[in-house]
Amino acid sequence: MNIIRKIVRHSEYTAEMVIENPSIARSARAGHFVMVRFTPDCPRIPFTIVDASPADGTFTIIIHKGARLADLIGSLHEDYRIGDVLGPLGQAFEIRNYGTVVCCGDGVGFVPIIPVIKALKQAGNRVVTILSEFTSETSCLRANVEPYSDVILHSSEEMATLELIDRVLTDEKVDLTVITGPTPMMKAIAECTRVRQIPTRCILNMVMLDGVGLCGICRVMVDGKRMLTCIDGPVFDAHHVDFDQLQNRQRHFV
Amino acid sequence: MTTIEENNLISRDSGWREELRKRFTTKERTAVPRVKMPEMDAAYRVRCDDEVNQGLSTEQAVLEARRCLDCPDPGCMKECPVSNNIPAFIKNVERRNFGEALKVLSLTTVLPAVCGRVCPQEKQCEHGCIYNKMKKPPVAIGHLERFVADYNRELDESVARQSSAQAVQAPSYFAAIKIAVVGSGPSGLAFAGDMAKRGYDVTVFEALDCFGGVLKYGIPQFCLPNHVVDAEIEKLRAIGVKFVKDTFVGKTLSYDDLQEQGFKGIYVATGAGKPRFMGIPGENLPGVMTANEYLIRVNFSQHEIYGQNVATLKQKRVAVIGAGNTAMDAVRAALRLGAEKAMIIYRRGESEIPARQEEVRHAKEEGAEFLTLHNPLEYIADENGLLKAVRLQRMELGEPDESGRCTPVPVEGDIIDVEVDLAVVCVGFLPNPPVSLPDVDLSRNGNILVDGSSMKSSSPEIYAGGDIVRGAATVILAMGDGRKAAKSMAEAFEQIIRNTRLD
Repeated sequence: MNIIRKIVRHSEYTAEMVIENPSIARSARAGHFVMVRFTPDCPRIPFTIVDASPADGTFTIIIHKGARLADLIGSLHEDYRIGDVLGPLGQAFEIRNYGTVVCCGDGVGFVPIIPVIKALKQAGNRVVTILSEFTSETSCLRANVEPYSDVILHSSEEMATLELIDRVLTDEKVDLTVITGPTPMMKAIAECTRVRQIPTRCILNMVMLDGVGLCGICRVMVDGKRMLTCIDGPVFDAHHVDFDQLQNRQRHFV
Repeated sequence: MTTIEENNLISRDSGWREELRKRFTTKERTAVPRVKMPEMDAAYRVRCDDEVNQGLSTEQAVLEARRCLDCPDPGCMKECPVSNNIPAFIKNVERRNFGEALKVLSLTTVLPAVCGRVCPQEKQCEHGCIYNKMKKPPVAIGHLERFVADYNRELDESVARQSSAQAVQAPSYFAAIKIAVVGSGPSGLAFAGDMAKRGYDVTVFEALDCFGGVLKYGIPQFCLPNHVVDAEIEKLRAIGVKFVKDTFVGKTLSYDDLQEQGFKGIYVATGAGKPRFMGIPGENLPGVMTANEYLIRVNFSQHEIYGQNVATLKQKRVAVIGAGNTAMDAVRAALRLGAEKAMIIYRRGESEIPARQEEVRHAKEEGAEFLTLHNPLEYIADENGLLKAVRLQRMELGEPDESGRCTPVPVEGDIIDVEVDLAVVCVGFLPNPPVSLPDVDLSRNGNILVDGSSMKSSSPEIYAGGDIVRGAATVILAMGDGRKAAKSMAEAFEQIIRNTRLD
């Protein structure tokens, strides 16, 4: 249980690891996450379940230096037994054939959307993927979504993400937008799709202590109601999330 | 289940009890002053995490036990939610049979070391003590319970577990019946203990990475040290209870999975840990924390908040909203982290404070301020969006409501702002959402509805108890539910087995 079966270091910042845990592998759906505590001294950190193989009894997470794990990433190796893994947590993304779906994420903040892209493609959607950053740190992520994207676009200095998404929404009929990444970006995109009346889901990435609804750190106002990202989310209707308040909380917690 | 030996242990008519009663007159017994729990000095203890109450010495305990008059109709027992045989255990203390005293307690409780520390005795057993009628302080039942548990635990530890065989149970007729317990808090542990003693094959599933539930993540070490909880859990392991961590039943394993794995009975004791808010402006500001966030950080030493460190609260002002036990824990934890000013903000008056008296006294000794008759209206942010102050409405007490407590009414126009750096909201908890429970009826608040006498839910295999049924209550009530559920579930199995045999 909880043994790292495979570890791929995409860059000095990012590592993708396959972890053995049959129960989690069997129950995981796109949108779910796990709480991981690598050693008893580590904090408990939520990670998106990027992929799962019930047959092998394994699932995959991508960890990044940004999660205060710089030293740890270096010390992890294959056959390493992780102290504690709890999951799958959260509500799964509602997967069905929406038609054309635009999936947009930023850099390492892109990770939560990876399983959603795969599942949406497998459900028959036309998937347009927008990576809002394209550096060596994150280029590895492209490989995770390339097979499941009908189109991959990436923003550049010449073309900012918002402009890019605006162009896509102008050029084709889009039925759903899924966004993740930094809060200001999600807020801007949500405004853009609101005007065009395109349903939009955001996947929030929040600090959590327990992941099972106790601590309340991940609270967010959605349509005037207080929601907990860990048990009610992490997927919410982006047109109803109070991004300003979220941003204020995150300025002090991220 | 009562054997002759057991009967001799607990019966008021047994020879040793009669002899003991004759040894001192009532006058001699009542002349003994109530024992004073040795406590660490307030100025010292606020700088560390050590337990405040140091525990009675053997002589103190024996002398305190002498005060008990061994009433023919003991009022204390009637007030105990798990019906501990209080006179029987106290009289065993008086005759210095501390092991036997623990045996008496073990008939009815699996967590004496915990209950001796955190039960509100003044509202329960000690409230029923005959001494109250004599206008004297009641027998210190809680302190004695704790003494018995600690004495025996320390003895066990010093014997270094050389006799690890805690009388391993004979294979039972029921050993083939697998029982699952969801949640390892006080209710789940009490249930697990009782079922294991009856011979069932019991497995406790816990979502977090340590066992004990609220006893661990909620109650701080200075009230209830973790090693005390761990020792009680070890005792359950010794009688065959299995513990599985990192398993969120309903997520990691579904209830169907449990049934597929052959679990024939399920006890749901997932507790009430979902934080409640007052619904006032500013509650989502950074700097406003839930009781759980604060206490989990304190208890699990995850002091480092991302970008904001609470490991030290030096020169900081902390407001704790509410005056229950959780609020006392939070305010006392804040003082230990170095808060310059830590205050309880409570909308009713001093005499309505719901927390245990001892905790309130400890908090005051340690320097907590009590701002009673004040109700938060709003949290105010500074120019950076961080908590700066809490706006309070002054209240006065009106007519008593149905609960007998006076309803607080706002004093028109009397509003003050108090500058604070951290606010901890301790205004109660909601039931943890039970995940994908099959065919179980819930209340509007999300509590599991059960039959009060059997703790049986609307689904035949599923029983429930503790805070998930009651809403936030006490450790002892949660334990009481666990014991009640164990009794009725065991009876149901026995019934089934009898019926099958007749066929």
